[in-house]
Amino acid sequence: MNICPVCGVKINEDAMTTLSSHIYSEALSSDPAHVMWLNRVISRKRLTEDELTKKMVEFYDFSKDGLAMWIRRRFVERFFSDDPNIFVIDMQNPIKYTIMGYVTEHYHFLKQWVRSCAYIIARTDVFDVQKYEVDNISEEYFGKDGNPAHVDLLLQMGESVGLKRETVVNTTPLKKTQVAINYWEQVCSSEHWLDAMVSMHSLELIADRNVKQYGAKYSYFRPEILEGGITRESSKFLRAGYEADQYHAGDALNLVEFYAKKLKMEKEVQSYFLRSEDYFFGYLEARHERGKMYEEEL
Amino acid sequence: MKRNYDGCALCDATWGDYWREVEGERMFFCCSICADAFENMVKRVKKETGWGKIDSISIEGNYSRGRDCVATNGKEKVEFFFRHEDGIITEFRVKNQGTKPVP
Repeated sequence: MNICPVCGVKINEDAMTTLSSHIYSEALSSDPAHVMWLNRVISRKRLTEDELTKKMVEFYDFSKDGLAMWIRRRFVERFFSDDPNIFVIDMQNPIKYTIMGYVTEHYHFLKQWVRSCAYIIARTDVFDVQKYEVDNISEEYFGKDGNPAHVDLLLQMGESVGLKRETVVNTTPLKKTQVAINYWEQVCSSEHWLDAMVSMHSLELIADRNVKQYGAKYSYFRPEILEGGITRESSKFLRAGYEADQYHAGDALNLVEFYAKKLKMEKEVQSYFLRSEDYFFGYLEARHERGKMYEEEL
Repeated sequence: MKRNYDGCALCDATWGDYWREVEGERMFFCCSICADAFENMVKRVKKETGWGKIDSISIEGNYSRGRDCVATNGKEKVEFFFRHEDGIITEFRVKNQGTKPVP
């Protein structure tokens, strides 16, 4: 089955021509989302339908170094290239308001994260996947190896820059965060568990310390800031992600690659990944927007 | 209005088939969002400069990076930066304004 990486429409044919034909037709009618996707991913110059099919076959081709690496490279292009996400730019030299925006929006993300992982557990019979997700949820809410829960570290980071827990918990997320949360809720509660898994765990690449090996110009933050320039609590939170997420994302992507091949779902998984990273892009913009709101307000 | 792009007036893409009249001229855009952004940007330039018309606009950049632009009106010139979100201007900064050197 083909899934449109832009609008998610399901096309009950596997050939790339049917997917490219759908996108081509949407572009001809000037649909903003499809046109923007083509501009950003394929070409700003209009192609013929045959040329578009060829370009899309090339874009989806992961034969060179596998599905997991294809996901890594696409993620790096989207978030850490010459034109990175604006929140990635903020994080290169984070100020108090960057951290406040981060904590406020991320609290809501984390709650959805746990719900999403729980859906995956409920919807799969695969023991390795269930165990992986249980470990992940446990670390988020209870901590691991004597370390505090990830959500507590997040709230402590907020407190260290003057942001009260009650404020974080009681603040309604910004629209882009809510839209993204709604999307992940829908995918994880109703689509195949493997689509849910790639949608969520590919996002952990944001904190992967190895991104520069995959062509990134930026990383999530400069490791030097862990040693000074931010509060001790901020350092603890970022360090936990920095040290854990490379294993999280790596292990999860290995599972995704293995089961996508076994279940013959590779192309579907690729499209779900692309959709999820789009929502994540908007969600990171919401962190930036929230930081700016605090800066103007305080 | 003289522009530096042959495709969409905002982003130079040649996908889509969306047309809108801006400042009395029928212009090509790849989608309605680019048309909204371009139209709102033109209004903002006129508001910030007090100009009654714009003779030319040159744009460099993209959605993520934001756009560095130069607009002229006769011998007047303004350099500015802007970002948009769904066609609405979210950041607008005049970098330089003055008289354009006569070639």
